[in-house]
Amino acid sequence: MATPADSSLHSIAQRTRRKWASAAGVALAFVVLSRGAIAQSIDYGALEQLFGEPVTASVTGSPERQSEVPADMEIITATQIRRSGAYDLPGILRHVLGIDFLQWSNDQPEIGINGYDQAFSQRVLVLVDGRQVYADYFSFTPWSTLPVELADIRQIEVVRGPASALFGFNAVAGVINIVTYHPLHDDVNEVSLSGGTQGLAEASAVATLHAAEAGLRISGGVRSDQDFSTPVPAGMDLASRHNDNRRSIDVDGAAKLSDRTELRIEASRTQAGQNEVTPVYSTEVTRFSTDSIRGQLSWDGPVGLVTASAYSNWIEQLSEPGIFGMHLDFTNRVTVAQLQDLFKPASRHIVRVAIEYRDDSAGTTPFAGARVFYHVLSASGMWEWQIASPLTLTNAIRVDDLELGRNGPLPAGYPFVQSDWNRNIREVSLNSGLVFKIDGLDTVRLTAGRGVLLPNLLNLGGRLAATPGFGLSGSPEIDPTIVSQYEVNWTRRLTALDASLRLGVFYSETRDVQDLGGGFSAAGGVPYALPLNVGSSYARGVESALDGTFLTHWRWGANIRWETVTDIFAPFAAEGTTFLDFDDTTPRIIANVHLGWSAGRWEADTYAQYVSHTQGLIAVDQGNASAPAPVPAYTEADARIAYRVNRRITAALSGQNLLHASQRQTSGPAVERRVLGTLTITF
Amino acid sequence: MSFTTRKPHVWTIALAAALLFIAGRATAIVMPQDLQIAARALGFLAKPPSGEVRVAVVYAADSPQSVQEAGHLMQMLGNGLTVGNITLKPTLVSVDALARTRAGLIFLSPGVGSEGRLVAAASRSAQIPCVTTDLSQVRSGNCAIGIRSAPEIEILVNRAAAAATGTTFSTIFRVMITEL
Repeated sequence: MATPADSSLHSIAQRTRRKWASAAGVALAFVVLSRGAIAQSIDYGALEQLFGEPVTASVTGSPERQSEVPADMEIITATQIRRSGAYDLPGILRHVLGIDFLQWSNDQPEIGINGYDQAFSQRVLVLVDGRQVYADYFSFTPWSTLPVELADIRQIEVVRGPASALFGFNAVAGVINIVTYHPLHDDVNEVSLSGGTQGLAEASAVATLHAAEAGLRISGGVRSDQDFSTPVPAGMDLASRHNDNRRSIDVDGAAKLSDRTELRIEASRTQAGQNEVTPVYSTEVTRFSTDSIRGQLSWDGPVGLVTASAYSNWIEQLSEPGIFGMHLDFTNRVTVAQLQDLFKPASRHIVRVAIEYRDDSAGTTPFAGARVFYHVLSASGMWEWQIASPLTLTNAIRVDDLELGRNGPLPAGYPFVQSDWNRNIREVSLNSGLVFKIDGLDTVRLTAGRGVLLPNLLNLGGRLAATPGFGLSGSPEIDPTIVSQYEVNWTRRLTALDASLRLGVFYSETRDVQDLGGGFSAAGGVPYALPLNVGSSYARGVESALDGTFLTHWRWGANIRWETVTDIFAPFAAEGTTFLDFDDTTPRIIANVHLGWSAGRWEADTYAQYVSHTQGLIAVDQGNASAPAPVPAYTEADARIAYRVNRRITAALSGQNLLHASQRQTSGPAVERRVLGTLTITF
Repeated sequence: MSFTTRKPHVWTIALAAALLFIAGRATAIVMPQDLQIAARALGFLAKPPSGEVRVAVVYAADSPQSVQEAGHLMQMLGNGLTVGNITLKPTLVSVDALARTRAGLIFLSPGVGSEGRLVAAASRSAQIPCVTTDLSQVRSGNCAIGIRSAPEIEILVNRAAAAATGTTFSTIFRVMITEL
């Protein structure tokens, strides 16, 4: 029997089918456009072949060689993605230095960088080709909704540390930018079929069409599986488990319009349903529906490379059981328009300037009929100065000016009036990096960054559960969180070992930590629980990585992060009672090792991870508070073995969490062993 | 800028072999990877070439190093080196004869020394880009593009020399290389 949620999803499907059809029609038109040209998008493949190493634009907005970026970052190549054996994006990231990985359910992994990870991880901004896929209505990344198949991906760029000066709000712990193959420069055609434990069945396909100076890439996938069957801890068990599923399609087209001009248009749609652990450590069943459309025009002229881009994301999230027996129905739309110029005014100076406008809004839920929104006008600049041959200084600054607002009805007894949302927030983000290439083997980097984590729309009032006697709401008075980080790192090529070494030390400060709870007001006559800024947190850490090859066919790697976090919260928020406890939930040690081998038609890789003991949080007091629960230290292992049947067909067997049938890795349900077989056909 | 082509004469290759013999054995400065980089860099020109590109491999007759390196270059290029969507077709040319030679690209062999000024004049006159692994020629402005592949890949462009020869690169390329 159809539910109101089903009807809502159906109407969304009708609207978005029309939007997607028109966007796809425009994209298809590019297949027939044909004008000779030298237009300007980043041809990652050609640049990588030229410089002999991966290239990225995710640190400064200007393309750079990985060895020269003024940040602590890592690039995961398509080959490494294949060898990981992972079946989803977070699984690829799990063994990267600095990554925190929490698997709350079979299809709800959470990714953090340098600690502070939690259910609905907030501090990492995730992008696909520079377009935000991080859901800032609730400050998290719904990984299953990303309209990307693994075969779409050229590389994944992981920037550790604040990067708000380039990307704006919410890039406070780092940025993960997923770079897909370009429809104009690349030619990817692949079908992949997978089956495995937990009832996994998945099909994925990517196809690329070229015609003269235009290209079109179409990709899509469907997946169904079951959640883990391990028991849900007491206090979390609010929702019955459903089967998980995912469907996605993406159409990406590009064309050279003239000698110097290139146009790219993309449209996507995903639907996903999965079991989740919420930020208040209860369980829920969630269905997502997302749509996006994006256009980008680039022109390389006397003033440099000018890029105008705009995109809109729509997301709807239906969650049960909700609050006070009322379903949660989040609807969010974000629209971003940006104009950027990248130019080289003198031989040793590179400059990027940009302006951006963002419109973000969400409907209130479960109290319906109102919307909370903000408009942001931003200006940013980056200046890279090659002081001398081995020494480069890069500085970036961004100013965001936000206007908050609300429209729609207010419930009786509400502590706020509409004018409370007439608020302006202005924040400055900074990034600075000094790169010293001592010689051809050693590079030292000193970096500093200031990033801003904006309160999400739900915490600003989008979450609104009203009953005659009590309420739960966001607040227009909550302040952004400011994260500052300082780091020194050293990389060295060990030519005798055909290896590389990295060693880094970092320190970060987080001020005005936002908490889901802790606030209270009865100003309107009805008592309401509200979010609140509860204090500060400090982290210091050391990280190191070593990787290389030997005996022609073998590859290896190891990395370790040691980190300690200290929370200084208001007394009522201490010891994890209000769903925050970073100093106890951030592992002191995370270590990874990797060994791989390739010869002839065979390829094999194995990965192991050790995570030291921590605490996790569980809901207590009927979900009104939380408490820490011990999570013992654990070691897990993933592996993949593959056989290339011929030049088009590869068969692979891979698995995650292989050492135990089930294992406690979080305060949530134990994680199960997963094994899957994959058949890949290229054409 | 023109990228005309003509098949190299057999005697050109024979002359290259003779030059190698006369100069004797010594460590070459130009590596095969240098040619790959040079060819790929051309793909980032404002008007990138495609198909066959006639390359004038330029040497100074009175410089043994230049003679040897030019012969080595001719050997590496052979009957044509294909990189991506271009094929570099070499022809051996002395500095004195360069002004009378039609080519789409100049590859200046290391060791030309002060005669590099003649190369500069010829490349500006014909509006032909010049590439070399002899970075001193780039710094002096005699050649627009310098390539080095070891210990790490480095691309150097002399902005004045590039402008004088009509050599214009895309912004994406320019922000990734060193300009003088």
